[in-house]
Amino acid sequence: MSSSVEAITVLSSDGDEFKITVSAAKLSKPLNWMLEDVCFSDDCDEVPTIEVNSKTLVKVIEYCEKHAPRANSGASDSDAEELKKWDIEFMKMDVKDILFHILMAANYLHMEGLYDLACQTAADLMKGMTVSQIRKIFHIKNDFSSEEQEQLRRQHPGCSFD
Amino acid sequence: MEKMLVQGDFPFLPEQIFISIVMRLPVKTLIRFQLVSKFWKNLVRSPYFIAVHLHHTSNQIPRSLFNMGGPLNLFGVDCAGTHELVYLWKPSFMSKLSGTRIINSCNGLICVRSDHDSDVSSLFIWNPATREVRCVPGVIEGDVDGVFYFGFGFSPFLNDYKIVKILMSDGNKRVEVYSLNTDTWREIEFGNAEIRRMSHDHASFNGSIFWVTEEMNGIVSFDLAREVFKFVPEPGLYIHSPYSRVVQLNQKLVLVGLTTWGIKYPGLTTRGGKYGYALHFWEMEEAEAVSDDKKWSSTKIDRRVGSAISNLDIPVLFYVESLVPIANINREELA
Repeated sequence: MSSSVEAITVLSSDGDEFKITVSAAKLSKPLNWMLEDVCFSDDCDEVPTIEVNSKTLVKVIEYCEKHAPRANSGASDSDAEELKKWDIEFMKMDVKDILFHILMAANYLHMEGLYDLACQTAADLMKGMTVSQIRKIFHIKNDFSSEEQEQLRRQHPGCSFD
Repeated sequence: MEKMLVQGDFPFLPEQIFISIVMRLPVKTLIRFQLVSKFWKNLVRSPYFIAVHLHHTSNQIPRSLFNMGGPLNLFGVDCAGTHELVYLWKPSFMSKLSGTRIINSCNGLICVRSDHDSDVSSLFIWNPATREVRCVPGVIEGDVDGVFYFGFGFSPFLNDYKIVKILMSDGNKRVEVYSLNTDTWREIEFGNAEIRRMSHDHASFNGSIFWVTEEMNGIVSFDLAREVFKFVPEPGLYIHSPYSRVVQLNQKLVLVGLTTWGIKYPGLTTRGGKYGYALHFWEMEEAEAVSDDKKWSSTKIDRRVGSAISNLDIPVLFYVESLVPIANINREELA
């Protein structure tokens, strides 16, 4: 194993180059495996491509760099509290525009912490949405017949189709 | 191949990711989102999703339920988030029932006993989150010489909920078991376990129900699938406290004991001569299954001390909400 460098370069699916520190990259299982297998050095021409667009990759790297110190060494309760607050701020983003992309990236890069955080954020956002907002977000059509709609309305008097 | 649920433009969400998000939604929201489309309606009602949702909720901190301002007026404290009190829905007929007592809660279902007269009672199971009720058939006639013990729990093996009813009178034990799936009662044998009295409080865990014996010298277990009773001696714990019960907490069977000092243990009086209480939590874990018998070992996991803990603050139930369906009459049939 091992690498003498402190940061590696990765490519996004758009072909842009990004630097990520080794300790931050270790938050992703596939990147960590790769770091263990391949010896990176300054003259290394090996540039892994991450199938994530640039906009998303910037956010993912930002998350990794913030969380890396704690993941590697453990942290005090006050640090954990601070990190929690940072996560909330970090997650303030548009669902369709970026949050879903982050989710896909976290899944693809096997980043459990970010995956759980993004899922919970998406769920919290959905909680406050109307039925028609959900349809819009997921590109779903209301495929109930008018009879079915009537039946459901009777079963759930408090709920709305809009 | 994973099915893509989101059509059209980016992003495509694979099913696994979609489920990971949706299982985090509260039951109330999921009921509402059934109106989104046929896919959503079928998802929320599918046994697979109900199980996934329950599994996720069961790994969260359960709500402690408190009884306030009348029978079955249950309020839950949201431990994880805001700590606000949330009122649990109950069917209006339940407010009119007399002599109601909660038997237990399991996977979002609450089992209730109501004594209409001095010697007749009936049982109900209710899901406050989905607003469904099951009226358990038959009435229970009291016995002047005997004491009734009830247990309510879930068997993952059978995928069924059962109520066990034990009538203990001098030397006699009569046991009947009710199954939610078959909606019927059946009489079974108690077996040889030497038990005279036990707690009414019990826990349902890992396909069995557990009671603490009255002498507090051990735990009585009932395997819901095999329908067998067993006595598990108390594993060297000091549980002789004014309050002692088994509860299921965070996927573990936990024995909670309350001890007081200042009154009972003069040597332990706190500074200023105040009285204090301590809640002890012992975790029961299934040891390596050497034989068919379940063996339990225990370690003390927590000790919460504070004058703030009084008998009044002890929750009546630990509860997690679920989509588990129970209605006698199917909603489809109703319409």
